[in-house]
Amino acid sequence: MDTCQVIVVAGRWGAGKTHWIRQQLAAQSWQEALFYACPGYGAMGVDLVRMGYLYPRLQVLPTISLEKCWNTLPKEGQFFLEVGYHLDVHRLQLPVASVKRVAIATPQETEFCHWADEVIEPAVSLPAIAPTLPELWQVELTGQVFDPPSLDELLLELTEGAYGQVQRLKGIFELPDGQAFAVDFCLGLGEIEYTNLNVPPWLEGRPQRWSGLELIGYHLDKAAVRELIADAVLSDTVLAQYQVHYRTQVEAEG
Amino acid sequence: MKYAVISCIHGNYEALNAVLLDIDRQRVDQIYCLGDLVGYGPYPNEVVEMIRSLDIPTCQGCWDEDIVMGLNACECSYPSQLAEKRGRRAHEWTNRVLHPEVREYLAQLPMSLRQGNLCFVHGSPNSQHEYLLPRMHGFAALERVLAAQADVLFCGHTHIPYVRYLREGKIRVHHRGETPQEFQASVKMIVNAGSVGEPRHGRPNATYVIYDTDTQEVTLREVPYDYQKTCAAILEQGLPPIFAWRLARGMEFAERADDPHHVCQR
Repeated sequence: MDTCQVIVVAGRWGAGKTHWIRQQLAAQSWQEALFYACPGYGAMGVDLVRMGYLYPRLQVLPTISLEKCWNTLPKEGQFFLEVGYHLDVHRLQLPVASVKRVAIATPQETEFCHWADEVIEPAVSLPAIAPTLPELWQVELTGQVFDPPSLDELLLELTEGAYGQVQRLKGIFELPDGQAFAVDFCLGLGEIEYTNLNVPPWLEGRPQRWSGLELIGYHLDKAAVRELIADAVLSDTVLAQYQVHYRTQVEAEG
Repeated sequence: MKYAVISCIHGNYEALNAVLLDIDRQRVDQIYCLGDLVGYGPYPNEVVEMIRSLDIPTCQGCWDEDIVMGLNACECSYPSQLAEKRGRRAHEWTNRVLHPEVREYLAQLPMSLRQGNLCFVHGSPNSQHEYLLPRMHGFAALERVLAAQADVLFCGHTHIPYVRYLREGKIRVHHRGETPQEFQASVKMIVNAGSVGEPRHGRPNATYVIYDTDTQEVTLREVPYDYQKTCAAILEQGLPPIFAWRLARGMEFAERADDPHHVCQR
């Protein structure tokens, strides 16, 4: 008999699903195996990769669909399953007995409230709900390294609405000093949040670990964003120069 | 005498018209222009023709020089790769549309202009490309004014207007074994005229300054204009749409250097 408890977490973008899961993880004794997946965001995604970096003992499960989640469902432990805002929770097939449905939602968001076993009010007040769902757009950036001041401008312009009405921005970006960091922004909730991922510095060639950008918004000008990214990332030659500089610095300090 | 000092028009004809109208209402005796007539904006030829037709004394800006001499950037010209690529696109577009007689006019503009104890430059007396930022070290700032042999130095280039008084103009030189010598300069002033066509103060409004030589009073003027017309022209002319977006927010077309300790290497 399976003893894996599945906790399915749903809610609109920016409601605090990942934040709630992180609170649960912080309270764990880590005696049992803990798993995390976020179906609906492709095989890899910002949340999945970031959670893997932040909690090295958490087993993150790359998955494309919810069906695949069940195929890879562990036999024991606790499985946090973060459902994308764009998936209809009432159509979710949950073919396991031990499932707890948690919605991070306001009382007005009845589709979540009717579905959930437990409803948790978002910790922050979110902008009014639009009649149509915003689009989710993901760009994989693995191997790309950003010019730091250009990345600042890129994030400013994206979050200020130069390329469409961005409601939510998440990203993992590589810098020429070999560091990677995560970025989190939700419209109406203040400043962009930056988290250093404390990964080993990548100072030899293009980083072969996953990085990417995830936008949720309306009327996104994807061609212009792609051009923006192309203008902000470093060429092979410039990256090599940076890496020589930083390797020398590391050697001098070591 | 009342002087109006304008700078950094950057091909923004709508903004220039609005500023000239405002100057007309202020009843000034003379207008001076600190350059950067072209670059980024959609009406470089029209702006130059307007300045020429009004016979406004003008010194050469960094963009005016670049369009004549070609790009030769110091790191302060473009503080990011993104800004550099955008700057290059704007340069190529401007280079393509500029009339030959306009280019000739820009080529013969002087580096600086003088009127009594006033000196007018684009960036600094050293270079059209050097930024005299308000937080620049006091000694370096004083050196720039003294180098211009002026009491009031008017500059632009940073796109943010400011007035800076240099009251502690004292230099003490102490050679070993000799009596220290002190030099005292009179109070000096740096006046930055801001930008007519490419503001960087968070609003799309044009800025310029008025200086009254009798009272030594400086007035920073901020002039609203129909910036949407300029934004529409940016799109119509095929310039990068991000220029229109940034202009509408008073963010400049491409961000500028902001290191007050940087010395331009051009």
